[in-house]
Amino acid sequence: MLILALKASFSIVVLGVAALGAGAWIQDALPSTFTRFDRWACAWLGGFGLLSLALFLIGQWKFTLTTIVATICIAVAGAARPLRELLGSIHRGWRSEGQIPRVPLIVVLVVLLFTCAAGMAEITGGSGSDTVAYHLLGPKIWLREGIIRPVPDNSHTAFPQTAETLYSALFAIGGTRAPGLFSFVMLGLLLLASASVATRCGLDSTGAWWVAALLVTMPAVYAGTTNCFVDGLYAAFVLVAARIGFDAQRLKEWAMFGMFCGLAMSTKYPGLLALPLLIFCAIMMRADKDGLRFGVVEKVGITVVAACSVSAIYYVRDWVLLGCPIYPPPPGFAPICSPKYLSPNVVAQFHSYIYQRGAGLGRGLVAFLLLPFNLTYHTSNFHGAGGIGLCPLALGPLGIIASRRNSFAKMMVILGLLLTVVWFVTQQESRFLIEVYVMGAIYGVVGWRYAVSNGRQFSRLLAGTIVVLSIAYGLFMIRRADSEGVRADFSAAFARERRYEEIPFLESFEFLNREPSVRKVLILDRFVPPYYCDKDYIKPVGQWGERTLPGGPDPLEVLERARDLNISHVLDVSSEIAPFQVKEKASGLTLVFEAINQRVYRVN
Amino acid sequence: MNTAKHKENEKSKLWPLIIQIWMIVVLMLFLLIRILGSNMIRNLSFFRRVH
Repeated sequence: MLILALKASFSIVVLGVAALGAGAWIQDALPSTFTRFDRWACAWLGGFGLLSLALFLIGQWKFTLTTIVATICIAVAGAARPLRELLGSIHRGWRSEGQIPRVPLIVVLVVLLFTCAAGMAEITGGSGSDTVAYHLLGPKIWLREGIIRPVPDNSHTAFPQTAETLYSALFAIGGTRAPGLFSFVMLGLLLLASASVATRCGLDSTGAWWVAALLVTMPAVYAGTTNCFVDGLYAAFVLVAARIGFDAQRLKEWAMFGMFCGLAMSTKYPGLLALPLLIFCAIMMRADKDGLRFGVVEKVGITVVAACSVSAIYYVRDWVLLGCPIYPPPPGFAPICSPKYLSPNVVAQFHSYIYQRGAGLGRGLVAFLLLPFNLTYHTSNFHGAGGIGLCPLALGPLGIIASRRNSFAKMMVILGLLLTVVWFVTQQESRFLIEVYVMGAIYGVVGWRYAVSNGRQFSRLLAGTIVVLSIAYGLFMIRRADSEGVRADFSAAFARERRYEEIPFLESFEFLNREPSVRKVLILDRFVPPYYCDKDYIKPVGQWGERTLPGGPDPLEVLERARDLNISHVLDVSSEIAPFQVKEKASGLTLVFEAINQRVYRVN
Repeated sequence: MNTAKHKENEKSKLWPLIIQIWMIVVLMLFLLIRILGSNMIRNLSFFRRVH
């Protein structure tokens, strides 16, 4: 365990330093009003995005340990100067300020340490877990095949891949535990982006620390940022884009704004919808300051070009390889493109899943107006992952009132509202709204200050109780969600038990992975997660109904051609969804392994 | 002049009270719904819209 932890930690340190190198130049392209902290935060976050982009581009040609290490070494070489400066400024800052408020510092450290411990546990779960189903499936297969390509049996591996490319580099250098451990860096990056926005909204460093404490204890934020989820990273890109775009003056600052919009688009599809909203708010901010002039067209043009340049590779690749720039095609997109591997029926099923899952807290005006209540109180009833605490509802409105004279804070409110409307009408998955929850935490702290300054002793007591309760509730929910992972770190027996309980058909995977005669496995059931298979495999029907072979044959048709396809073994399972598919005495197959609800055959 | 000052005074007294009431309402709902898990509140049609 210790060696696994050291290896994973080493890879994260290397990647962190490489990101510093990759993003060092960003510091000089930011608005002059940015503080030293803002510059470091934006440059480091941007560095991770650009490093991932470089790896992804190289990976289209070759994705091996050598190309990954070479790319990272080049980035690390560029980190010498920024690293020296960063260490110097941390040292100076530590000595000169030394007044970090203790309570939020302890809360943040506790959650980050917990995230590290939970992240070190082995990744488990079935095809219902996005981490296993596609976030880590792609990276594992790219490394095995030496090239970055969407995995045909899971269409979600064609999503924009900024975080997943970083995971694959971590896999290659730090082993299987590194992507999980990286969660605490993701959470840290989100906190840095949030602190930068919070200080621009008028909070001092103590206020920014409280924002961080409220954020790390929002279960929905925690869930969307850890366990190899990518929503926290996406939210950080959106927040930094807004931070830069709302203060951009010179052309290169607008280009920087566009670059971060592009990084958001390279992380998640909702970035495509966030781009026009961010640009709209940046224009409004500009108009508020200097009036609307024709020059803004040029600036918007630069922004769009920068955003599209950064993200184009993901969309062009999908278009070329899969026949559709957004893959799988969202509702309304299917008629204008013909997606490979997906029949019209499968696309329709996918859309109905999106509609059903995305219904979240309901549609219509009343449901929209009830959002603040439902997000606060009824989060466990849908995909709310435990909620966002009390502060956004109790203190956020007061914060908005208090910030009414701060044009940046006002524009953030408008952006938050627009993002919420888009989220509401598209897919209501709580973790897709993390950037708005960050705003909720910021206005919560501003509102807390406002309530204290406007009220008497009783107001202070009430506001304090709300903050304490919010943090305590969040800590409780987070502990409950991830305590098993932490326990697995410290108890080998429990870790083993957890493996057998949470990894479906583990015995078969263990057999297939250790048996040297296994060359290529045919997986018959579409819900068996191939992430756990270390050998080459064919899955004729993917999790979402993808048909991965030419002509779209059924698994049993593929079974008849097993020898032609160089398949050495067949994995057949009986699940709640489907029984065993291979008949008892199938010709050409020999049963070589059997466990409860699982059978492995050798192809004769 | 006195009337304006009086109104200002009233406003400055009223606003903190509104803030307090708002915070109490949010806090009480939280205690009832999340901590006590009150089925009575959960089953109100107001909340039953939730999926």
